[in-house]
This record gives sequence, C-alpha cells and structure tokens, in this order.
Amino acid sequence: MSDHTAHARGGGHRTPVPMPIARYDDPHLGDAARHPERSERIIALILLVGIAGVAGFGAAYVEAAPPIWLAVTLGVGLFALGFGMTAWGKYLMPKGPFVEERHELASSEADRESMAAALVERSGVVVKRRRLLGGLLGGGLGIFGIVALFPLLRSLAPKLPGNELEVTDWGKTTRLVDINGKPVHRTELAVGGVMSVYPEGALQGTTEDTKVAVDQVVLIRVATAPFTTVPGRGNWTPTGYVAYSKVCTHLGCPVGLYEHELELLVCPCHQSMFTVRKGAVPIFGPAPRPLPQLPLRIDAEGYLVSQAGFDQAAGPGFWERTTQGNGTA
Amino acid sequence: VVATPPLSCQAEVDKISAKLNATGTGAPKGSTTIQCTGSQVVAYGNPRVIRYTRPTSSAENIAQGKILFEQNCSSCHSADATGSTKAPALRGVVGPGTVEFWVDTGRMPATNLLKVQAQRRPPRLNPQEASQVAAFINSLTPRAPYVPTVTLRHANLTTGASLFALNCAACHTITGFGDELGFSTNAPTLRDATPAQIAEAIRSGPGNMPIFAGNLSDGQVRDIVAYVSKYIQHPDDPGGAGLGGVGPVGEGFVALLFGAGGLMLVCFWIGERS
Repeated sequence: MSDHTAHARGGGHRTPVPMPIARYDDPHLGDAARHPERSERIIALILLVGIAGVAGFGAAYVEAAPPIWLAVTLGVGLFALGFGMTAWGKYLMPKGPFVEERHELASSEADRESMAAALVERSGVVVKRRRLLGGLLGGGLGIFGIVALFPLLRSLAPKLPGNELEVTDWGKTTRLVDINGKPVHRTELAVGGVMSVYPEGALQGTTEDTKVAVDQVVLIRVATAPFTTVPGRGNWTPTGYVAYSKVCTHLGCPVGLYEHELELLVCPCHQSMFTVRKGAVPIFGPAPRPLPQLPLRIDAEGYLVSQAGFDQAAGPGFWERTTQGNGTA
Repeated sequence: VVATPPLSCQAEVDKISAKLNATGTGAPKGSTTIQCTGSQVVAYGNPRVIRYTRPTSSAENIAQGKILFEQNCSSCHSADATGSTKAPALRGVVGPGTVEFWVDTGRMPATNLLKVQAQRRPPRLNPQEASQVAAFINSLTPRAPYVPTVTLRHANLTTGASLFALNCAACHTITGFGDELGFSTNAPTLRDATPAQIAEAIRSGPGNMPIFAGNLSDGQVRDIVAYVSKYIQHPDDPGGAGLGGVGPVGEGFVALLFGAGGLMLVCFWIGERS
C-alpha cells in the first residue's frame, strides 16, 4: 500500500506509455491522498470492522443464532466493507476527469476494400468449382442450426406430459380421507361444514408423486338430503355432501375459502367465486370454468367414497384440454 | 340451516357425544362428562379440555333475559325469537354459545341493518346480560352448542399451528389478520378474540364461517384456541416490526418506499458530495 509508483502494464511489443496517475506529486490527488497514512489507517479500521461483521455473520449462521444477530452482523459487515471501499475511492484515488486517446479499431480503407474484393471473387470461384462439397457443407450447417434449436424447444417442456394433466388418483370407489389419512364418515360434517380431502393411499405415496396437489378436493356439507348441482348429477351428493376439485381452473390456487351462508367457494388468489349448490360455476373473477365435481356415494360402513374419478381434467387449462364437462351442458 | 337437533337429555346427550367424538383422532376417549337436571343437559365435554356449560337457568335469570331480549333483539328477531324479514330465527336454531358469541363481540344488537356483515365493536350488553339472553333463548328450545370454557394448560401449540394452517388460514390468513371475501363479507381479524369466543366461533360457525363439528375434536379445538391466543395474538416477529401481519403487499410497500427510497436518498447524497 505504501508503493504508489505504478508502471504501465502489458503492451510488451508496443511503446510503453506510463499511466499519468499514482504519484505523490500528481495534481489530481487530494490532500488526504498526498499524505495518506492517517486515511489509510482509518479505512483499514473500517475494513476490519467489515471483516469482523461478515465473519460474525458466518459464525452466527453456523451457530443458528437468532435472526436479529444474522441481520445485525451481515448489515454491519456489508455496510463497513462498502463504506471502506467508497472512502478508499473518495480519499485515496486521484480525481478526474481523465481523457485517454484510443487508436482506431478499424483497418485502413484500402485494406478493407481489397479484403472484400478477394473474398467475393475467390469464394465465388471456389463454390462454383465444388458444387457438391459446397451444397453438403451448407446442408450440414443448416441441419446443425435446426438441431441447435432442440434445447430451446426442450426447455419449453422438460418432458411431454402425456395424460398426466388429464388424470388424478381419484377412481372408482376411492375413499375420501383427511390430511392424516383417516376416512371421512357420513356423520363427520355438520351442515355448513367444510374440509379438505384426498384419495385414500395417495398421501402415503412417494414424495415424487406430484399428483397429490391436483388430487385435493374440498368437501362441503350443504344440506341434509341429496340435491342436484347440474342436471345429470342427481346422485352425486349423498346426504347433502358435495365435493369439488380444490384446484382453481384459473391458475391452480387452492379454492378453500367457503362462505356457508352465501354457499360460495372463493379463490384467495384472484377472488374467483364459485356457486357450491349450482355445480361450482364461476360467478365472479377470472376463473374460466366450473370446478370439476367429484361424484360421491356412501359405502356400506358409512364412509364417503367416490363413484368415479373426475369426468374432466382438474386444475387450470392447458393447450390440448378438451372442452368436455365444461358445465355448459 | 343447522342440522343439530334440540337437546332433551340422555338420548340427545349421546348424539352430542357421538358428534364430538366422531373424528377419533385427538378426541380423548370417554372424556365426555354429562350433567343432567330433570330432562335438561347442564354441561358436557371434558373439564380438562373444553367444558360446555348451559347458562344459569334460574327463573329470574330467564325473566331478566326475556326483558333484555325484548329491549335489544325482538324488533328484528321477533318477540318469540322466530325471526322476521329483517333477521333470522334464533329459537331452535342457535345455542347459548352462539348467542354469547354474537353479543359478547358486540356484533349484536346490530348497528346498521344495511351492512351485509356485523363488525366487532365494544359490546352493548355486559357478560352477565349476554348470559341472561342466552339463558332465555335456551329456555325456549334447548340446543347445542353450550358456552365453552377452554383449558389451555395441556394444549399443543404445534398441532394447533398445523390445524390453524389447514382449517383457518385460508380465510383468516396465516397471521390471523383476516381478509376480504365475496359480496362485502370479510373474515375478521383474530387479534381481539378471547379463548371462549374462538371456541364458540369454531363450533357454531357465525355468519359465513363454516361450522366445525365432527371434523375437529375438542382437543384439536383446544390446540387451535391455544395457538391463536398464545401465538397469533402475541407473535414473535423475529424480523423486528411485524407491520401488523397484513401480508406481502404491505411489507413490499414498506420495503420499496422506505428501503429503496432511503437508498435512493443516500445515492443522491453521495452524488451531491463528490
């Protein structure tokens, strides 16, 4: 830090040009830089504080200290390092403005013209004389260009989804279970009650099974007797229980907000509202389709089971989604 | 709209116990203790978890409740509590726990009938008067839920937190601040609710709130009440200022306006000085 006479670097084969800075008699230097001992000491102290701060952050992180210590150590450390760097620039570096001339990047006019002429003339002759090779090379480069696009296309879809978007773990006679895997008995909900349910067995699957997210269903007891949500679904609501996919048809948020006097399901993300008694038709908000309804029945032991899986893809729309079961029937 | 039948005694008591223990998970086995006087249930539940008690049904208590009901409630709910075009029926529909929730939170008597949802405010009737009105309603047609007393001593806050996230946070938000819902309704903040009011709300489902009967055991309700009254109402706020727990929009606003704005001022100051 004490040697302030620097030499020009690089440019071995060219004429070395000494940089016009970093001498104590440099007119650009301020008073503090001309006699830097005191400034250097202060800045070093500030930087030491910064080092202590970030090292303390590391120690706090390793020791799992309370968040306030993480915040204080990192804050003090980064602030001191930044402050030291700024002070270094402000008090020890020469002040501008500096103007440095730069040589022309382009070649001379004559060089460029002769190069262009040679390229056009000779390459024309070469390709005309070797049509086959020229064509093959061109074709190869063309195919390479197309192949080079493959990663781009692949990045749009890591793998083709197949029918994953269409199916869930709900099937014929799948028991409804709560988050703990306990089956749901017909006496479980009072009228006006709501709970989230899953297909039996899906929760015990491997963690790689991402279908559980699209499996989730919101179970609501609307009445004490069966009712018809949409014509053709008359026997889907035993003893007033109705079940809809919990995944919003807009962007897939969990539609878990049930207002039992209004009999509305509300999506927390964009405030779509679905009529629970009328087949979860959206009456407000951006959701484009009703929530798919899960046909229910009660088995011999009194537990709720599905009659079948969803009659349509659950969740938000996708390119190839059919319009089947859009509730327009 | 509520399906629970009126109470008489043992047969109805069995129905309540069956409903309370229907979940199995977390419901302490054989915990339901019942007291009957004549043909009426006085209390049910487990004194170590939640005990549901009928308000004192002495003759003067009911008479006093009748007077209070006529003064404060009957103009909308009608003198015999069968409701009118302005307000729903209470007789045979609500239990003492429901009545005490609405009166103790100041939502009833309502101030503005044009409002879709009554808001919490300082109660007009004191707790004793609320209990008398509840006793009067219960004397017309006895019904659950009774008034809960929650014992928080053995509550599990961790269980309460996960149950809260599963059942309550969708509307009340994970910090319990509450949120707007459809058609001018809202899920109110939980910051001011007492343990008894939280349990009453879970069991009776006031307004648009769902009713949690069989799918939450008394032990689970106790855990949720403990989580709300011990953590939601007294959050740790490890990052410093909690900013009321209103959510990412408010926090982002503060970060942008004061954080980024302050940095801009510092940059401006540095630029001015050099």
